[in-house]
Amino acid sequence: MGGLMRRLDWAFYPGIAVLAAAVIQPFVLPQQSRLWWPLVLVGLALVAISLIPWAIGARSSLGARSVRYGFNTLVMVVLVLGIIGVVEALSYRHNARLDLTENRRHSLSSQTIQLLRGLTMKVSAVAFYRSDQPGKRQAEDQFKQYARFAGDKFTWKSVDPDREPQLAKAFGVEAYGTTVLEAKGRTEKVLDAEQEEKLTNGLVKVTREGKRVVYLVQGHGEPEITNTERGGYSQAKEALEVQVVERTKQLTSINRKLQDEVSERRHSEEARQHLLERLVTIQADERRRISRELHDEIGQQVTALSLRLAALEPGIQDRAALEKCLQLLDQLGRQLHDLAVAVRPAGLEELGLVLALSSYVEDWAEQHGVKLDFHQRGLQRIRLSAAVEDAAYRIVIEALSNVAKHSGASRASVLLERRDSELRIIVEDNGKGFDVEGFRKEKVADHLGVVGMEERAALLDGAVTLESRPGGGGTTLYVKLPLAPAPRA
Amino acid sequence: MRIWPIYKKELRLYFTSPVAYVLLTIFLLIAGYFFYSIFAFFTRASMQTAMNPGMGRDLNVTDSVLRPLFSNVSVILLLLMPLVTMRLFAEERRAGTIELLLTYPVRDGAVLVGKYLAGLTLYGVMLAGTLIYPAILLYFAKVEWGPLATGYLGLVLMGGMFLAIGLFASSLTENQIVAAIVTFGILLMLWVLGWTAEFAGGPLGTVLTHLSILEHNDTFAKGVLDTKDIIYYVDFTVLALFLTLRSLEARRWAG
Repeated sequence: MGGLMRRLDWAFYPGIAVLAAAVIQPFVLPQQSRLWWPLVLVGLALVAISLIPWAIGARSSLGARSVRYGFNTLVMVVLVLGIIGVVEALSYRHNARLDLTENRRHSLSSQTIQLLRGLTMKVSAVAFYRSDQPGKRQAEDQFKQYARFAGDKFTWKSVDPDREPQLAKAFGVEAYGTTVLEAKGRTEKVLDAEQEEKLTNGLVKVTREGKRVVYLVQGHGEPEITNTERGGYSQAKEALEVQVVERTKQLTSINRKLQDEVSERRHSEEARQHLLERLVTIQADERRRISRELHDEIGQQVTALSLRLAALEPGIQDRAALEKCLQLLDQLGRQLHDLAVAVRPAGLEELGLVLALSSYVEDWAEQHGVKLDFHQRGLQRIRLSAAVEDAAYRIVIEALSNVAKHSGASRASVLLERRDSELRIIVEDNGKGFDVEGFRKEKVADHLGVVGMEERAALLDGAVTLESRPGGGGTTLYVKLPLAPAPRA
Repeated sequence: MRIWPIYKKELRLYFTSPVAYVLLTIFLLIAGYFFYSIFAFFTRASMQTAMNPGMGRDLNVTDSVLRPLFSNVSVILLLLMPLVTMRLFAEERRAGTIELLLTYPVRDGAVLVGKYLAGLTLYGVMLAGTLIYPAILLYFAKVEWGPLATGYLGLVLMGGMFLAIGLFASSLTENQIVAAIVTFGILLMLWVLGWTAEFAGGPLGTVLTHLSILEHNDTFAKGVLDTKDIIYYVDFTVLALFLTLRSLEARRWAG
């Protein structure tokens, strides 16, 4: 028994040998990976067997005291190993880096860092370097730094194309030192990726939608683009590539600025639209208030006044004068009513532009004894924005009022047409017409109506054109109002 | 703590025997040879560059001379450091003086620190000898002080770790050669651990790469300080010293 025990410790050496075989197995026979676990287990078992006699001997000769000490030591060692493991893990995750070279050549440029931080898609890099290639370490160092700034967006691995030729073939790699970048199914090959500008350039290319191509004519004695001799274009090519990188960096930053500016503009444009609509709404409210005042307050008072006057009748000598006063009051009351109706955006909000105008136009034609055609195109059951409807309504009313006041026309027509996201209004009459040029030269105060129409149109980026032929040629008013804000349902 | 007597005794042992002198001579001879060949190569490369502008734009003294020099010195240290430390405890064990030492009114820690500092001092002398190379460089070219300082800091930290591991191995055995071989084995394994990372892949690969010395020594050589590299060396030094202390203690109860 004792002899067997003593011989057991020889198992230690084969055990170590088997473990050593397990360690070198991936190098020597990488394809036999299922051998690894059996080797490890057998090795550990042999070592454990060899320790049996030692364990028995230790217990019998030394007793409980040494076991206790041994256990203490074991616990302490495990504890310290754990602490060191945690410290190492923490130091790996959260490291600080200080580059003491003069031009910080081992640190990434701010442009690259900016690019990496702004990566929106995942990019993977496979670097095909021979294991003894000079640029390999450098490239790997650089990949690590890229990965550090890009977070999980940039992953990389290094492959020796001699050891894994089929992988190199699958990626279409033809030269040592090629790095294949892949993003969203697009690939980009970079040669000598250990040079930061080349890798960053590749990164820009692979993450950019679209591709730019430079064509060079070859084959008629033109210099070769890869020729490094005198007269060759290789320097030009390199310089061009460097420039492209530089320009791309510049463009990226300019583009960002531009985008900022555009969005700022858009915001202020929206704010302007909003203010304009509010202005129109407030105007409409104000008109509604004035209209109500005119009708309900002053109108009532005029009525009350005429009743009082009528009540005075028995005591008045000059009947004719009283009659005249009452007539005037009646006229005033009617004018007030008309004014109130005209000022109020009556029915426009409820009816919409077309219905409100057609009802107004009917009244107007009847009132002034003018034959009027009203047409609309492309506006059936469509509501435009409140600002446009209001402006169109006011302009037509103003135009018709001008027709009634000045033209002496017997016929008139109003046409509303929606076309290409703009509203066109044409108001035409067969009246006496006038000299537009001369009219323009008069004082502004004398043609407030036209100025008002123009201002309304201008508020909405629209335009008003007036055409007239003096001596009975009639007058035509063209109005264009853009419908930029989406139509209301 | 009475570190001083231990330290003095160890240092005297180094310098009264041929060990320190032979070590210094061989070390400086090999390092000098490396420096010469790197520098000669650099001189030729810079001459070619001067004749043919446009080539070798990245040629500079730090990256072309100091960096490979530091990396080569690291390899020499890998081979020589086990020999610096192999004697420290193994000899005491063989001669039986370790019993005396451990029963002195001196703590184990003091003994350990004294021996460690003695080894560190010898190593410091070795490194001081290499300062002649940057001095020669300085005579011919502009030297970047930052990378020079980080390079030496890296060598000091790495040597400190090698010494601690060597001490641990020496405390395990009474045979100096076994101590040297074990030290060398541990160091070499740590050196090349990263090679398996490629096969392991995934988190295991990351861990193996991180544990490899190769992953940490070049950062210093190229002029970059990274907390994770400093912590790596310090951690392993502390771990090895701690294990040595436990191993010394085990002598008391495991007999």
